[in-house]
Amino acid sequence: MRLLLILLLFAGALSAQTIDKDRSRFLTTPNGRTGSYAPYRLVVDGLGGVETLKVRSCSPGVTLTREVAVGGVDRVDIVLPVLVAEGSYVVASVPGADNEAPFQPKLPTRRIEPDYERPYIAVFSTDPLYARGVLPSVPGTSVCDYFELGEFFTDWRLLDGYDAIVIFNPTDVRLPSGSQRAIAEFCSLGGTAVVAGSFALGEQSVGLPAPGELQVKTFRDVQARRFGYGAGAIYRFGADDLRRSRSAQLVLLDAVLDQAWYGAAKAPAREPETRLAPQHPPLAPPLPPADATPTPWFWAMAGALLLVCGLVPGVASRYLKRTWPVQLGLLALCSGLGGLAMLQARPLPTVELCVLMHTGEGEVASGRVFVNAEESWRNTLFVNLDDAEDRSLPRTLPSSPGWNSWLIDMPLMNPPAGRADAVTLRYGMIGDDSFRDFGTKAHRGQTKFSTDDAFLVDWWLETNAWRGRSAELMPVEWPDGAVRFDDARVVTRGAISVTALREAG
Amino acid sequence: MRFNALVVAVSLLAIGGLAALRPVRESLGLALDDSLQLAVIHAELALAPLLFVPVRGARSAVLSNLTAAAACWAAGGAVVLLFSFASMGSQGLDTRGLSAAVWLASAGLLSLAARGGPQWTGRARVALLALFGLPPLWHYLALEYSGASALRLKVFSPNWALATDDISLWALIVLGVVAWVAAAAPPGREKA
Repeated sequence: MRLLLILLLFAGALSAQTIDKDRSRFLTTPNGRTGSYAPYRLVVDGLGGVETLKVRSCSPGVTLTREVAVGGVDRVDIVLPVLVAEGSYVVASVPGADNEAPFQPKLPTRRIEPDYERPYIAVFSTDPLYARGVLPSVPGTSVCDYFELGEFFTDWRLLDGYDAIVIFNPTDVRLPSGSQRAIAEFCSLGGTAVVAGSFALGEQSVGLPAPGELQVKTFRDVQARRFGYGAGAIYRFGADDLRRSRSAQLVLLDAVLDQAWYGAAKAPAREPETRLAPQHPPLAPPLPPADATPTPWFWAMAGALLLVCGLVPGVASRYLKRTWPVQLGLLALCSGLGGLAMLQARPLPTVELCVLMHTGEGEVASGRVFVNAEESWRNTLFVNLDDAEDRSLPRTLPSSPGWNSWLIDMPLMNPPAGRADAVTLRYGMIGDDSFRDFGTKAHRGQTKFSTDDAFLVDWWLETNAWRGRSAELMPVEWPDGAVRFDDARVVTRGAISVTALREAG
Repeated sequence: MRFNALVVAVSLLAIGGLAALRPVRESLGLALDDSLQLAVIHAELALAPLLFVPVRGARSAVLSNLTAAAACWAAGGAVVLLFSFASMGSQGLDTRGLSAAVWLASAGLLSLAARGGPQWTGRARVALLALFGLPPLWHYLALEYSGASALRLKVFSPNWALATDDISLWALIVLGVVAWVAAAAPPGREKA
């Protein structure tokens, strides 16, 4: 009987789900942008009898979770975002069971750095071979990953590492449900979408904010319709127009670079702004902790303790000759009071937030929320990928001792209301001040930005003004729909918006 | 002493209250947060050799002294936990083991000394203070003058142990157990 039980246990272990390590891989392999999330195909075997599978994409400080219904199948392919970085791992588990084993994916070998001259593009097409011919991945001009149009990502977080997406859809194929939203979110965060063929964005039925006004632009004699969408844009070409052009590849790249170079004919200096976590985040020094005040419970317990320690030995000595039973009673009573003292209301850990809003064309914005939280709050941020309302994507930031920091990208937000007039950065100058002098003035409170805003302003200017670009910066109200944490004392600090200004309209 | 626990509770409450006063707090670099509770814990550990008053007597006093020390430890612990109102962490609970080891060693040594009279009790107090205070000081000075990194500091006293994640209690427990066993040993055993 015992042998039978052991055999049954072994059989149970053998039928448990296992990750197929050979077939699981980054879909972008061999390309990958370190520090960004990339689509990872996870193949899980041995699911007989399992109804739901829970998968987790873990990286230091961030865990993305997803639940997949797998009733009736033995093997399942799941595509989920995984951070391209050392220390990332994925876990597949059955809810309620404890047989989970973390699996560390093999990282892509070709590292794609952000580069104004060489955008990183995801190409979706009904015929990826055709797309590869039209828009080849050429070192020095563009790096492309190719996907079937039918497997278009319906979550922008799978597109995180890309600068642009190109969709070849000459035959009017319907994209999977949710694709429009993913494209809108990607563009609101500064991405560029180029559509060759049929596509409509901004349909009322999916409740997305409307894009900016239509602009007609011409690239190498091919006409394109451009819709600004927050910090990003959508370019649409007719499939036939593109086919008739002398080089569809150059036309498409021109469109991508038109947005990346802010409409200028020359690339800006240095590296482009990306969603990668900065090494020196604009976190203001934490504010001094709020003073806790003793509650009535404190005074009651302190009084009770003094009474117990004073009265019990005094009274008991009248009735008991020996001391040790009294001291033992005192030990029990004091321990009880100590236990009751633990019931006092405790101060909540502090979470300091500041936000950099990216606005642009249309009634669309996106936010980058910098979170600086006391270590006692939590070490890991959890994001449910199945939650249609929460499309945020956190990344861990370098933090000071005693604190944990994250950067959370939030797409599709409402443009925030300004607290004062915007200032314009042109040629590294804001008004008569160089950007550094302006940053210093902001720290001194001599501008319309608050001294908390100054950390964001100074940081953004330092990392962007060198690029020779123009932008408007404005102090804004704390935006609606930004992250909320109920289990902490949330302190909102700086909030500014940045609007990139395009050259030559 | 019958009211030893009361002495401990009053002393620690007074120290906690004093440290919470704004001028004192600011001069000590404290705030009404975890640091206030940590200050009370430091005071609790440092005062254990001073606040415990053993009953003088032969072997029969050992049980009284042991239970009195336990009551003192519980009273001190209750005060420390009362100051949790300002603390987000669990350092109050986490340090109870360390505090118990300190009380065990201090009260054991003082009980042993009490068998020799008040003079020996005073000497034991000085010895305990030296034991807890001097080696870390020498160790620090040795590191300072040798130019070695302060990261090589070893946990030599209970108060220093608070600053590390690796609290080692065995030395205090051994000292305490040996002292209590010696205090409970029959008189004149060494002659036999």
